[in-house]
Amino acid sequence: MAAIEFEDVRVSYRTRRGVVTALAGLDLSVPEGGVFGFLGANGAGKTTAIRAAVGLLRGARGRVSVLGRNVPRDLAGAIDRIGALVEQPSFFANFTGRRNLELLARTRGIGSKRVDAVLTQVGLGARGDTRYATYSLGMKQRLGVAAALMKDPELLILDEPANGLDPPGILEVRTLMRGLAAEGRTVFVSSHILSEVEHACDRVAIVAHGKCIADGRVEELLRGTTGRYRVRASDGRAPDVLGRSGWMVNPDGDGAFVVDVGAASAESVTRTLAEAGIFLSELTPVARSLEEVFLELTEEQA
Amino acid sequence: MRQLDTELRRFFARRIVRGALLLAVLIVLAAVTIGTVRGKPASTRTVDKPDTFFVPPGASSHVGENPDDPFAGTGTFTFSTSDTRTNVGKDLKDVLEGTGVALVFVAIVLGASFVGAEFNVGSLTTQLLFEPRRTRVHMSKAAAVAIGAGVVSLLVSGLIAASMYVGSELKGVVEGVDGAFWWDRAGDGLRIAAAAALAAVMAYSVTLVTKRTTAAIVVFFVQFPLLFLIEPTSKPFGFLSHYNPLRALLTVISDPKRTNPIFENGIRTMAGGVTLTAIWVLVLVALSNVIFARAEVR
Repeated sequence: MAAIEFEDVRVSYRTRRGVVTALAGLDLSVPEGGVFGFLGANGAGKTTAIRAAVGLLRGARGRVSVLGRNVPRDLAGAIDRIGALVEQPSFFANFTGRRNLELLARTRGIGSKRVDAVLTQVGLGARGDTRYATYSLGMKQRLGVAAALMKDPELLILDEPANGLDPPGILEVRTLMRGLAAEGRTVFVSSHILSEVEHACDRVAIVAHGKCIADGRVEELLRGTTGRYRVRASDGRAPDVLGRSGWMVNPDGDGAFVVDVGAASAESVTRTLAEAGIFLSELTPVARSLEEVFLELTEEQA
Repeated sequence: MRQLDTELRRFFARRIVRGALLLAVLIVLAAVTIGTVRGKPASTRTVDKPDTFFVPPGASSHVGENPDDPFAGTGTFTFSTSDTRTNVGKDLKDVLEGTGVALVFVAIVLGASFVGAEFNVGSLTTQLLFEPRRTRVHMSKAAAVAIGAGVVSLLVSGLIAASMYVGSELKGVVEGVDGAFWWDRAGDGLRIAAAAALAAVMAYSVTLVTKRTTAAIVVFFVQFPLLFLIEPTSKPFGFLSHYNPLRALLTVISDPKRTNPIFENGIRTMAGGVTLTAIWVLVLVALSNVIFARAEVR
């Protein structure tokens, strides 16, 4: 069973300027377990899809199911197994962080011990009793994550969880997501921080113009040549020799350099240098980054 | 019940609710204290008429010319002042009904702002991630608003009654205050609380659809009061005034058996007021439920 399934989901809004299509037949299946990254440019439809999955958006055409339950019709039956953070978390400004969580917890019969535990888990243990209005952006985000964790969910849906977090905070969220995935839970996370997704996620889907344009394991998407090699040679003539062959050469620090051979193979590099009497101490293909894959796919789509 | 319990906690934790209660306490205590301290019993003073009067130049009458002239002839003048002491037995009913109108408008603000504030900060989104059944959320909030506004109204009415009684005991008049009197005033207080509760639910329902507190405030503080300007029996728009929910609420608050120009051409009986209010509440709650169930919540 898939944790989340979108089947030909279509959402459009009427505005004064006409009809805006947010989702144009989204098809996506998020398997159970692991961290699933959901990527897309601003306005690609990520948040709309998430809002449809958690029942905040009504009137979407197509089928959305979460943990085997139809959304929104049967969502109530699965809500205790789902934790979600959608966009900027919003709480009552004049209540403390703890009070805000306690009020939410009460609706699901969750005790105050669990509230304390999640506050500690997100690093707000010491600030739980201060007013939400005094929280920084990062602390508000942490409280949102705490609310999402409160139900000890099987499925955690996080919409841009790193928003407003400092580098240690981002690292903590990544560690948290990996930890939850290691326990067998599913984490569905949308983000525009591609390097973060690349490090934290097992699988990713890329959405553009309301449709899923790529979906798979991270290593599968990154597979493929970039035509670039990191080269190291003790002979200082090496960059000039490669440059004379018409290839772009850029220093890469530590005495190494990156040569872009385009469609040529690694053999061409070794042969060219060997013919000049230069022998290599390192030749490493430069892997594609998720950012490159993302830009490549979204540009194609555009 | 858990949802209702949570909504009630939210309602009573709001600063506007606590502020309104505190303000009401201060106003009631100040008004009753001043009234009690300044209150004086009725008095009669008799003075002798003077023998002669100053008649301004050009005045057409003079002393003794007109037999109905109070200044004519000899004798005394009698000056009387009414009893201004706090009299719980005589005044409490009127005070409660007068305050009831204010309490209904306060309840409208509390009801509208309860959900308006949630739309404003976006906290409804977070709540729906914990309870996605929107009808349940809606009904819990409506019930919390009704109970909350009713309790606020009862507390204020109770405070008025208690402070007036104390004022009457200390430096006023305590007459006709027996079990039956308190029983009747309890009925008044409950009636006002019911009107406040229903008004709050109506305002809450309007805000749930419009998503803005100000919209409900405009509807209840401007549009509906303006409908009073239309003669209820006139055609074709008289029905708008006749079935105005504020008219129905005022009927519930006031005793329609007494002569009151408001009721001359509109709803005249308590049963009529209650029925019309109930219809308004049911229609608004049902309609807002349908719209809320289908709306995207941000």
